[in-house]
Amino acid sequence: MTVPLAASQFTKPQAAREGIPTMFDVFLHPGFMIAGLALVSAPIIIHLINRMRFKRVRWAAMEFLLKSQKRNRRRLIIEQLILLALRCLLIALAGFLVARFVGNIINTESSTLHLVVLDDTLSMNDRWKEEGDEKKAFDVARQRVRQLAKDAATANSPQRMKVVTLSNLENVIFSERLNDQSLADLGKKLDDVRPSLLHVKPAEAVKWAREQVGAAQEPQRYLHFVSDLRDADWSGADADALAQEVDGLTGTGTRVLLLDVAHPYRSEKQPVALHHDNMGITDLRPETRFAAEGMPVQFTVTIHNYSAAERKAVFLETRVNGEVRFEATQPVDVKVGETKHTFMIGFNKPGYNQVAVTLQGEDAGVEADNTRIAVVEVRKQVPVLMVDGSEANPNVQKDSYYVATVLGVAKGYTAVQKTARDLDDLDLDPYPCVYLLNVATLGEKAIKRLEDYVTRGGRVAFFVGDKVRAGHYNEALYKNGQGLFPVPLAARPTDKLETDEKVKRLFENQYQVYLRDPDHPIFREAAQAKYREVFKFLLIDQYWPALPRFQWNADPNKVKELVTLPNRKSLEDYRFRAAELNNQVPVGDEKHEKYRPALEVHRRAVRDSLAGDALFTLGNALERLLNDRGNPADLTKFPDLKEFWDLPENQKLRNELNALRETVQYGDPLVLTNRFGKGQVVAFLTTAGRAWNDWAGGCPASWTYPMTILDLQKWLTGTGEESNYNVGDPLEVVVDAGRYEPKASVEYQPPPTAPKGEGAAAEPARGDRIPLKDLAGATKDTTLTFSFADARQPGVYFLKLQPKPAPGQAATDPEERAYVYNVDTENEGDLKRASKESVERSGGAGERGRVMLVTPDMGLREHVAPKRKDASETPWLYLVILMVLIVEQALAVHLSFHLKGGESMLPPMMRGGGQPAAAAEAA
Amino acid sequence: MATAAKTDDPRRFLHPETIARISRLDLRAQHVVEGFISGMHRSPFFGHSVEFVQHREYTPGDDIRHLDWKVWSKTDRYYIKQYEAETNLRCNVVVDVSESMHYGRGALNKYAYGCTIGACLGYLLLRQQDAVGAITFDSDVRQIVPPRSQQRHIDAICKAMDVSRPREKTDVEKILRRVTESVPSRGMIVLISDLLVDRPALFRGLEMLTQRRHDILVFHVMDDDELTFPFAGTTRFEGMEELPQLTCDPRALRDGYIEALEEYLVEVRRGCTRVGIDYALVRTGDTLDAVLSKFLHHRMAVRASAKMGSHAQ
Repeated sequence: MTVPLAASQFTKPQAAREGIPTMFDVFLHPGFMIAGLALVSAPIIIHLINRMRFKRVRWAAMEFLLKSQKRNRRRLIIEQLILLALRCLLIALAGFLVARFVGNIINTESSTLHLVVLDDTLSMNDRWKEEGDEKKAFDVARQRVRQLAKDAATANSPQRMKVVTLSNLENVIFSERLNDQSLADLGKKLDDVRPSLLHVKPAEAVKWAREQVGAAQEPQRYLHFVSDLRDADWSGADADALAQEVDGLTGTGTRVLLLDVAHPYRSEKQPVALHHDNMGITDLRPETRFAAEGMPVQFTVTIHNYSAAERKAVFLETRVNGEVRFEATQPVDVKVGETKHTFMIGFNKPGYNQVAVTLQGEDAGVEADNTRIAVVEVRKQVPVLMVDGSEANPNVQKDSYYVATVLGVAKGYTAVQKTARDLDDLDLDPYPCVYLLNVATLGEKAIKRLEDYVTRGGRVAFFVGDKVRAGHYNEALYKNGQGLFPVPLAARPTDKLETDEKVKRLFENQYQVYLRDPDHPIFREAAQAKYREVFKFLLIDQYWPALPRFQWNADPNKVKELVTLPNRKSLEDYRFRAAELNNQVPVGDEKHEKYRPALEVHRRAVRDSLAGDALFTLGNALERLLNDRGNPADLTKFPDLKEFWDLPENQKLRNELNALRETVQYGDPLVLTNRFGKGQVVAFLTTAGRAWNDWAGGCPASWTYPMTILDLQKWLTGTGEESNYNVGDPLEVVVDAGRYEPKASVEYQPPPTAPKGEGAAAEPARGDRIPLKDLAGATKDTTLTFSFADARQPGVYFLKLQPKPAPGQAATDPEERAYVYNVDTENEGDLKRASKESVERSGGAGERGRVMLVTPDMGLREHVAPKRKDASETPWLYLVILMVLIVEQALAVHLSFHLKGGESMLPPMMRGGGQPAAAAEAA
Repeated sequence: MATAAKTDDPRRFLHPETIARISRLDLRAQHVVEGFISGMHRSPFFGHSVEFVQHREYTPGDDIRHLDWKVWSKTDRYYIKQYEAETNLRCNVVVDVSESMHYGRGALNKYAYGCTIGACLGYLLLRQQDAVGAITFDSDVRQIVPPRSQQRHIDAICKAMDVSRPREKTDVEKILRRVTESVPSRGMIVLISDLLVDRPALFRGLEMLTQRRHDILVFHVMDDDELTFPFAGTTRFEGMEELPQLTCDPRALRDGYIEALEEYLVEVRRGCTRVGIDYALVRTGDTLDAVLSKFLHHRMAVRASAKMGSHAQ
């Protein structure tokens, strides 16, 4: 049965399900069956006709003829049957030859749908110089789509093309049947398309294609993904998900052509392609979102160098509201990978200040990722909300006193004191942060407000104290791990330390608190080595212990312990285990001969510590055993034990010793953070004031208190991950419905050097704002939600909210909030190209060979308007036909259907009369 | 019309070129034949002073005129002196004029060819002063022309051979019996036929003739087509003489046909040889003069060798 290969790519059940006429259907169609049978039976009919058209001869020697016929009857029948079969086979083979034309005629009615997704993400702005002109990957992509449409239009069957951009899949740029007119239209429409600055995963394109395929009528479908095919998309974390999507698409019979348009152009036989170097700013982070006038703010800029060579003295230009700030404009050496650079800027202008940092002097690669902006809100005074539940007594002040004093000294902060009850109806949005100090309980509404506040990115600091009701905290704030508070509290706080105990601890030369994360912004300053020693004298008289860890063993990515108290249990609990592990240290091993001096010393120290009764000595001995870096000047006597522990055979023992060390050293947690929504919560399980500790005054460590509180304040008002919007991200702002009118407007302030891209026609004056649109808020219960999804350009988007006027009062000025949008450099900055293998790979479910990488040097026509190939084109078929013909002719000659040389057709008819033949002919 | 007139002329069987070619030859009977006049053939009767053959002891009843008195005088015994007498030849040309003889593709069909052989031989014999008669047959003996030795007798012979409506052969044995009965005295019988008959009956008939001590010559006339079967293309062969018809592809059957024909020819040749009949297969495609001269030369050679053999004895 003749089945053209192209048709056979659709399996029969699949084709049948989609109502596609397959070649099987064609051959099984009664009409074609009858025609085929008639053709195949032609030799039989011809044979029968020939039998009727015989010549007649009057013959005398019939005796021999009859005898011959009798003898050869069986052989003759077999030979004739063979000949007949050969002729029928010839007809069938001829049918085989013409089947493809029949197939083409049928397939003319089965049209093709070309889904073209034009990658217009940020990386497609990759630019380079070619023949003196600057060219972008997106320009090549547009040209490729034009060529694709032109080639597809050459196919015999109807071809429909649908073109979208990856960043805006809903907006169909072109959807028409291809012909000369529509090709011209497509060209014009493509000219108007500009690359966006967004990051969109290729899987979105495949998902879109799957939806389109589901609704398509065309039996043949192609997805053409015109892209730079970056490695980050095709081999990164999302590669498996993408492969699954592609498999799902190819499973529907759709072919996926991946048209690579990136420069340097890839050739067909090139499995791995080169890529342009690129640098981009991945992050610009002020230490605080709110700053008082004149207060210097530290910015940290993170530059990523995606090339393989360090770039020296890259000029980093900083502008504030469009004006270059020379004190922050300086050259930076950018290493391969990530480089962090910090600078300080002071602000004088109240309101939102746009800070833009631009990398200068990058000739190729993506331009848009060289600029990044941030916003700092400058106020004359930054209001800090404090809810203090503590009471003053003759010895100590209220807790808020100490915090407010520190913030007051720093200038720019104004503490706003409220009660817990006030929180029920207080709008928290004006406050950059909230302190809850020794608050006994919070009302339900207050908790809801706080949760909303933190969910939206706000940060809250809890300090506990004697007023705290643990049950309420556990139920309403901890909520079994789902609430704001990071840990469940024990039923009661610890008892106050006796004086003797305090004295003893002060002189035991042991850390009274352990800073578990020295790099955390709250303790970064205090954790410096020069300050750290003072924590040996920071006595925590009382604290509120958390329940044992196994009862709240939370997700480490959610809850983090920043400070832990020492373990005050008995050494007896750990003695056996410590001795056991200490004996396992391979001191006598010849392989580790060079480490022996240090190992012996530390093993002895551990052994000695076990002889005493102070648990912390064991902890210290273990820490030294594990972390002794030796003396580089004399490694023979003081070898580096880090090398020793890094040896693979010592990993297990190190892990066990480390686990023991942590158990021995760390007691109850003291400071913890908890992620909640977009914001975070920090909880100090002791008082902020001097009621339960001497940190705020009265001990050698007290001078770290102000710096820690200021760092805490900066952290509370700082820019978290949540504030980093990428262009394209939808913005959703939830506010108090009772306070604001349900309408708002959006204004846009572009960066000082706005990248040219989609929708960048209007370039405003420096620092000016462009009114974009008015928004209507959606009210739900007590909240009002404003949604804005058109932030497709980097810059600052201002949401202007109109407060409801108080009864009997005039309308107030609108309040505005700023939201910073930057390009997604992290996901789009790396221009490394995906390998052919990785883009063509399949997750296994899809049909192999249906995903193909098409390089610029490959012709498109053969893929989009392929000439049908089938078995009828193989030389073997012609050879078979030739062989059958030869055999048929030989047999026919043998069986005398053809005349041999010199043979006459037939003697003249001798039908009686006795006339000589010559005479009969003459007559 | 001229052609029609020519075809009606019985003398068309006299082929001048052939006759000219064979006129220098003579046809002699291989066996001793009875004649009524002196001629060039040996007679079964012993005559006088012609050619001494042998002495034979006298037995009562012998004619005493033939006693060799010279021998009696020397040996005192009675011996008879015997001489061989020469006589004329009585030859009957038996021609098959049945329907099967009317097949032919060349210049002459079998019938015409056979009749020409008969006429030419008749003419040759008449020129030798021998008596020639003719018998034609198809389903039965159709015409009998008694032997005569007049030169004009050839016309009667030719006329007898000329038939207009051929019929099929049936029982050849019966026909040959009638021939035997109609030729009482020994002589020469020339049978010209395609011999497409039942072979056992044929051989029985021929044996009958040989028992009468006739000198029998058989000219087996076959058409070239019958010997080579050169047909191609689907053909319906309609059997002559009430044989069935057959539609076939001739090329497919040719080998089998030739094989069956060979068997038949071998059988006929052996059958003739067995009873001492001079057999000659002639093809209508062969030139007649060549065929006859070859045949006559062959007979003369055989006769000469036989004579030499008898002298040696």
